[in-house]
Amino acid sequence: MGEHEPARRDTGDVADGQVPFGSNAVRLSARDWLVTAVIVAAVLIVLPAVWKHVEPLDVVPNYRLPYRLGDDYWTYARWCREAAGEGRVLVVGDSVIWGHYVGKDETLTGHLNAQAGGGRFANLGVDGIHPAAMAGLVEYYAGAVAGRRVVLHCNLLWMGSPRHDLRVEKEVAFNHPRLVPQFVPRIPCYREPTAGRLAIVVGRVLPFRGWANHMDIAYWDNQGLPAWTVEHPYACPAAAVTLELPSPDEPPSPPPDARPWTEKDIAPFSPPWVDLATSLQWASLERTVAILQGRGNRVLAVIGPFNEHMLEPRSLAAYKERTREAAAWFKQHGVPCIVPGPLPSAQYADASHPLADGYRLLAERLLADEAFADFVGTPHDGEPHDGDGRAR
Amino acid sequence: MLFHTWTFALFFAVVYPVYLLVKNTRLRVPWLLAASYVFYGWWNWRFLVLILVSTTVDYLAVVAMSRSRRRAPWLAVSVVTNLGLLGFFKYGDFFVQSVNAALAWVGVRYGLASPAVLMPEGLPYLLPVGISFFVFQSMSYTIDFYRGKIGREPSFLRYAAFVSLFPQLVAGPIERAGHLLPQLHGAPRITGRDAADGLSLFLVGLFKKVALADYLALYVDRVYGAPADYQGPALALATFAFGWQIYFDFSGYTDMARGIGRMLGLRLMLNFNAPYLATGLGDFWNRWHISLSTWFRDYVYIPLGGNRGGAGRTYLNMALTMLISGLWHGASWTFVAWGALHALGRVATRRLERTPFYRDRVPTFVKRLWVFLFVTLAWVFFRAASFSDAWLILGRIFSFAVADPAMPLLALGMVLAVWLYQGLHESRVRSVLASAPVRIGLAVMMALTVALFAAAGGQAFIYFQF
Repeated sequence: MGEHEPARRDTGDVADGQVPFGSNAVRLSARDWLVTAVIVAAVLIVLPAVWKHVEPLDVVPNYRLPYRLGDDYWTYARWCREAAGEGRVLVVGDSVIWGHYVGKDETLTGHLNAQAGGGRFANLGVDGIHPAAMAGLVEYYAGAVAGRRVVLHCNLLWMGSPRHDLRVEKEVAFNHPRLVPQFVPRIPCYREPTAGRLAIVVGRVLPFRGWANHMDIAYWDNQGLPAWTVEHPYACPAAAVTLELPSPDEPPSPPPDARPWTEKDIAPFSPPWVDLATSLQWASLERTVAILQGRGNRVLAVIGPFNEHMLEPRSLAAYKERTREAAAWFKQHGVPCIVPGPLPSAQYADASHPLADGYRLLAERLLADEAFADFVGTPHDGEPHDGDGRAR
Repeated sequence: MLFHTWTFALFFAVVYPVYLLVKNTRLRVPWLLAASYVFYGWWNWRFLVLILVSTTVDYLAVVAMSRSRRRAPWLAVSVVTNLGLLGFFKYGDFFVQSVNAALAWVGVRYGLASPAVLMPEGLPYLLPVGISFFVFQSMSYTIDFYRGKIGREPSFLRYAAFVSLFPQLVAGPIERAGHLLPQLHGAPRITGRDAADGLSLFLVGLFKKVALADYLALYVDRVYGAPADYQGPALALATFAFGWQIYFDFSGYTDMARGIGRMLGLRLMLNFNAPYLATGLGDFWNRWHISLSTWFRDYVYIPLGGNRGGAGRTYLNMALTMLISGLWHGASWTFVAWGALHALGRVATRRLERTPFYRDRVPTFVKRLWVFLFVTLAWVFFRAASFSDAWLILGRIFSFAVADPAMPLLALGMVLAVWLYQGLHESRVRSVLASAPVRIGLAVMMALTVALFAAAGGQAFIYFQF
């Protein structure tokens, strides 16, 4: 800088006689661009499809989405396609269905399968998912289960406070932000910048982004390839792609304390329940039902069983009131609804998660329930149904 | 709104088709202006007030100059207004802190208040994005008119579009009125070649930013964030990586800017020309941030006397220009030190670089290596958070201690591949790189790497802070 001489620009391709094109930039013609676009599009479309054949998804009995893949919606979609086999009953819900405190065979679906025989019940629960995210999960990644019978678990704990209901104005970090509505309805505590929201929306429709996210989660410690290489500077990223996915029995990290809540020094509490009429989470649950019914799924709802032993009396009344409201709404919308009574106190690990014995008892109760038996039907009763939830 | 985000993609998907529809009508310039203001206001709509002030004052100053026999006062109004805006928002806090530190050093208990107290109630004291760029671009118009190099722009809207043109508004290239304003007159001719060229430039810029700059930043930020935790090899490699990071970041932005400009039928100037292949410090500054280098040459160095006052005066002018350039980059003494280092290097090597020995006898490889090493070491002051960090980093680098630097081999390999590519591009095998299979192969590789590396949201560009 500072010389009284013209700047030297001797290496650029002079495009128009005045301004150099660029310093050794890759300059493509229109035809080059066409070829490039075709190759790139082919790779972006074909690679995720081919990968499903390269990477085995070992669907063992009572399979559930491995804990480490909890944010891997691309694998969830694969599991949905596998689970949507004929005659299967798909159980959708949060960590209560996934089985946060128990192994894969001790979950609700594990016990249902053990007691009913065969592998008719598939665990489509996702740890940490809440209704606002579940609606997104079902809408964008569970299309393969269209027309199947779905047991939808409803955990009213998500309406237990304005914070759980995502309606506080202060920014709150919550699970599965990529699944919640990015623009409408507005979630007050969600503060992702517009660019990030748009990237999420675009990522939902581009299979390659889902696949890339899967690779990050499954092989590169959920960090993304660049950050992974910083942590493993001399390792080959390709060598980390072992094609071995985590086991569905792998416990959460850190491992949960699987003792009854009564042994964990947890005091009874009184959540400040929000009204269902104004609840964002409840509205999301309604949306989930609408999406499923719109796809021809037959839906049965199971509310709870919440750990009512943990609730202060006044709060218990409020909870029961909301349970009644929720059950009424389901019935009004053609969704059979079961409200199992509370399990014995010692069979809960916390406010909503049963322990293994609790799941066994719950499975017994459900299988004994006439509405459930009617809904589950026979193994071959898996045909598509009308949008209103009734069989065609 | 960053170029490598879906927000910009959406913005451009709206702006560009309309632009193509109206490019042959009188709506072209108003549409460009509206798009540019939306683009800039996206960061903070209040910043639009500043750009409007700068634009209006400079436009009226030139109107006044064209109607008055005394031009100097109007030029002074323009320069004072622009430098005043820049000084207040960019250097106000730095000035106050420096004065207060000096007062404390001599034992005076009282100090100046933060410039934030001068802000209207409820408005935060922030550095407006790109203020250093649009202020310089706007000032070049008044100065060039004052010098009789260009005519007066009759249309305020066209002038406002020139100052705020969205592709290069926030990080350059800093265009001159004599180059860009004429391109805003009349209908542009946009051919398929322009679209292909624009996309090519954009892809290269996107790759530089997303796959290289942001990747290197992971390592650089970690090491420079806690330099005391690292030994010489890691600090040396982080400094090496930062030199490339800032190059990829800034030249990536201007590549994208020039690509967008090309698609709009506008030729923006070349801003980087493989600076790490420079064979002398003078050559380096002819290749690095060319639009700023030439701005300082034309509006600072030459008015100071340039090289017309003998060797001593030339060196003084060069040193002053480099110091001001350092300060332009950031309101901190470390940036001044960075400018001073370059000034020192330039003064010390100017005569050497002109000798037949250096020109003809020293191998090009050796010249490139020494320039690269000097520039890279100078980056330590640019990147370090403080002088104490900078001294610590330099001390450890030159302790020659042996330790694992833990720099990702993949990142190192990518940088070396780019360096090799640039070297080959300036060699006799250039024609091989220009062949269609190589071009297409490189484009596919870049597009796929960007797709794999892309993170939601996107990282901001380093030069936005300037």
